[in-house]
Amino acid sequence: MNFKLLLVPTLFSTIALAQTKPDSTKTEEEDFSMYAEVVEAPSNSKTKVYCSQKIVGLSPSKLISFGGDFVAAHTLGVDTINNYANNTTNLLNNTGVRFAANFPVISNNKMILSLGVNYLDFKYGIANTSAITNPLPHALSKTGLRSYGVNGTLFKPFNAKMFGIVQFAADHNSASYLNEFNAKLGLKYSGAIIIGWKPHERLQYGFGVSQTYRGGSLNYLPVVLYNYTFKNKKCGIEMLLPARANFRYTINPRNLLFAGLEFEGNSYYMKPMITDFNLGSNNLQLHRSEIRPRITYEFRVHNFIWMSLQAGYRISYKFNIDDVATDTPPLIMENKLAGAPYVNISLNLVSP
Amino acid sequence: MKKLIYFAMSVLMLNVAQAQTKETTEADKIIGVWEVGSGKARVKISKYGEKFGGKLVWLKEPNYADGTKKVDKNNPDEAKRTVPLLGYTNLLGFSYKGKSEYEGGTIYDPENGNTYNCVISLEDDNTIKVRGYVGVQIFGRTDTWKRVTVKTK
Repeated sequence: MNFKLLLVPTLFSTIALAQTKPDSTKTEEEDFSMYAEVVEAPSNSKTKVYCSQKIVGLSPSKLISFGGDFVAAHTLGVDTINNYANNTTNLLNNTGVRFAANFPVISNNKMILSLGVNYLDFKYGIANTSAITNPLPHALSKTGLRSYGVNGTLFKPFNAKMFGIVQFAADHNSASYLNEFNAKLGLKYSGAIIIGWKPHERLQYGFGVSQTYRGGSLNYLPVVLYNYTFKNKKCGIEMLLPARANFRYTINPRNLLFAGLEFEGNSYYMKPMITDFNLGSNNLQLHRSEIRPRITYEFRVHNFIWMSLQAGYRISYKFNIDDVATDTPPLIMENKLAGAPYVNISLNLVSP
Repeated sequence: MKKLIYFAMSVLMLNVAQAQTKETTEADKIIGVWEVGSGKARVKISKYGEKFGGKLVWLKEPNYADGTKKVDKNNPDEAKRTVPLLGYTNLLGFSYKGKSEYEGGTIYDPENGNTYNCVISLEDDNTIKVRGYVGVQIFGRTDTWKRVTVKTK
């Protein structure tokens, strides 16, 4: 009796010990053809197949990004405003700090909801600040341009081939210090709605509309999403028009090269122009818009930490001042910001 | 008196064995063949000692365009880049923590050569939710896998 009682657990433990941890690199000689013919087991949960947010070969999306811009010396042709004369201001450089974080709050087969924050801080280096007389260079020199805000993106697959994307953002854009928050004049809201299709694992495309400040002032523009990886999986196109378009070359999954352009812009509340000068307006907005053709090299530094090195040319599309309060005339300063080469470097935590 | 002690010991051992069997039965529900959410692969989950792991047993596209079998060419370890994907162990080290949840494991994605922390939860007998993540679970994604039964010929 004693012997039998002891025998049972001993037998179980022997069987358990006989099984060992698998070696991830060792593939057993096994006939896998039997797994080709299967039937789906009945399930209580109403699960169906949904398309994923990504396509094969797509560059990794950035969860956290911290970086900086450096634009080389260029000129700013400043228009006349009131009795302040026009002039050409020499800018030694234009530096920018960029931080963005996006957190996937909900992430499963049925939907992905990401919420994020972003911060941009542009400084304008002017050689002889004591000689500045025009209000615009004064504002740029004093505070620079600053944006900070929150954003959210909802990716909602409807089935295995079709999906929808809803984006929204609320940004405070101004020439002011960080503690000078002005909801009425500084806050700008933008968003987009896209309906898309994913016919196969190497292609997704979509169409929609956006409310955007990329052109400097408020616009409603059509949106085209197009992500494609060629059959050889070495090349691809990543496009979200009008924001950006890139041709991608995959050296290997940890080293990517891009050639393309970005369309960037916003509208900024120019506080120092109003408070430091008597211009007869309470709401002067700088409509800044620029196109940046560039090449980018992105590579993995360690695990999910990637670095991005970018070089290109900044072409200014708009750098005008508008009196939004009166809206007559439409623009009170039409300025000419010269093009200049630029570099950008950023460190990123990328999505799994 | 001796008979009574033997009887009591037998009952005790039986209860322990039954409890272990129940726990084992619940934990073992994950064993089987599962199809990933995209339908591109099937993974066979088995028990290895006290832990669970899984290997790729079917790929929708098992070969490259030139007809050769796919290998783990994106593995960060160069020595492993010639290992065939079919039969590759991509789930490792899962322990059953009760309440239909398996923790402490990792999942390997051959498409980019990344290994993620991973938790698995059993939604019902034929559905599991597999969440791969980096560091903390908020930086991750959940995929729903469905159980499939191999057709008998």
